[in-house]
Amino acid sequence: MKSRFLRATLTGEYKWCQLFSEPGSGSDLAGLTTKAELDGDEWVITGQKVWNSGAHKAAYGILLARTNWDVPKHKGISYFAIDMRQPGIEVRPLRQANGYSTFNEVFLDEARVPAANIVGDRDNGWAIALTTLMHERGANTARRPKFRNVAAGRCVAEAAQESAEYFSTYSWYPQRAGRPDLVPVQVRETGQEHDPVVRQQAMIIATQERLNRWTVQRSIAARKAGRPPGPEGSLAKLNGSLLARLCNRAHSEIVGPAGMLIGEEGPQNGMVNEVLISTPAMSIAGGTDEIQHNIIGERVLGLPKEPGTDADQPFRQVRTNLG
Amino acid sequence: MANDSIRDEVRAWLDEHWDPTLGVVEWRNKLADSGWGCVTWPVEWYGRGLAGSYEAVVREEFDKAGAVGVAAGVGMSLAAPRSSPTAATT
Repeated sequence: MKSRFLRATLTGEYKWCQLFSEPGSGSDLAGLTTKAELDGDEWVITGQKVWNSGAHKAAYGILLARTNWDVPKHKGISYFAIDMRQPGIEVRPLRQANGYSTFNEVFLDEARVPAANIVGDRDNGWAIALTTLMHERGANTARRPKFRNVAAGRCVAEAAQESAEYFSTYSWYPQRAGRPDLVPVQVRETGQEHDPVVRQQAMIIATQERLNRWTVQRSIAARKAGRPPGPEGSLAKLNGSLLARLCNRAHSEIVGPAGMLIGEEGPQNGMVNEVLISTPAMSIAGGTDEIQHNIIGERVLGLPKEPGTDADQPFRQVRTNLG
Repeated sequence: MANDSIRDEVRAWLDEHWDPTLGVVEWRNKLADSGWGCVTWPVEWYGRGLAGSYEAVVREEFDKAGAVGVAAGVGMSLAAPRSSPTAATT
């Protein structure tokens, strides 16, 4: 089983999606309520997942579901590899405020997973999930391969096609990050380069953008040198949200009401409008700013853990939106 | 193992095996069998059991040869990542 999964993932025959977040548990991921019950040699899964990129094309999903309700929330979660093409799974596309549709919601109604497809031990999925989340925070550093010579042959052409399809999901991510590169362009095009307030904003953004880039470079250099990942991921993520917000405000003040125009009529072919609508997602996706604060507080500054009333309570007794 | 010997080894392998006329799945099955697609994976699971620090060298040689690497996507970034995580970027 492991052999088939790994080989087919490497070759691209199996596409995957992530089934972690739920409508009622995003930041409090450990409070998830999708349930998995053992029936003979199969797990039966019922629940709802959300923000699932690529779920409509995926052959398999990495899924978190609750397998034990009588222990605290972090201790009753299991990690599964689930076949997405089965009657118990319905994938519905979500349409975003910025006009794109790159996520889905996934409904699981007695979907089935062979007992062998549990990853790690039963009830021990949380630790594995944390590793996946660390990879997710770093996933944007994934280098987009360049296929210079598509005419070279079938192999290059097929790989280029696959890559274009995959990365099209993320075409709005630069706008989500605020497009700091467009700030000086817009300042000049609107003739505001001598306005001291505008100049100050542009300089703060340029400074923040470089700080961010260097944090990421330090992290990549550390990894290349074989050192384990440090807190840079959370620091860079948090800095990225701050930069996106600064850009949002600057773009909005520089272009004024024209920022409401979408498409070709809008500034920078509508990219400014896309920035204004997309940047709030930066503070949410892949772990909210508040979650990054917690991680930095606990792991970097050594502060006491965030007080929680439900961390030691059996999950069955925790109040959830299940009622 | 020194970077240079890994570099020589991957270059020699690509010289002998890289064939742009293959289908991409057929080619990647060769990567799986040789371990050159995911060098940080264990030898028994399609890798070469190398430290993450060798990935850059291997990637450079693939780039020089214009050779296709393993699949892009959620599978290789989250379900079966190649090495330890790095910081997020924007």
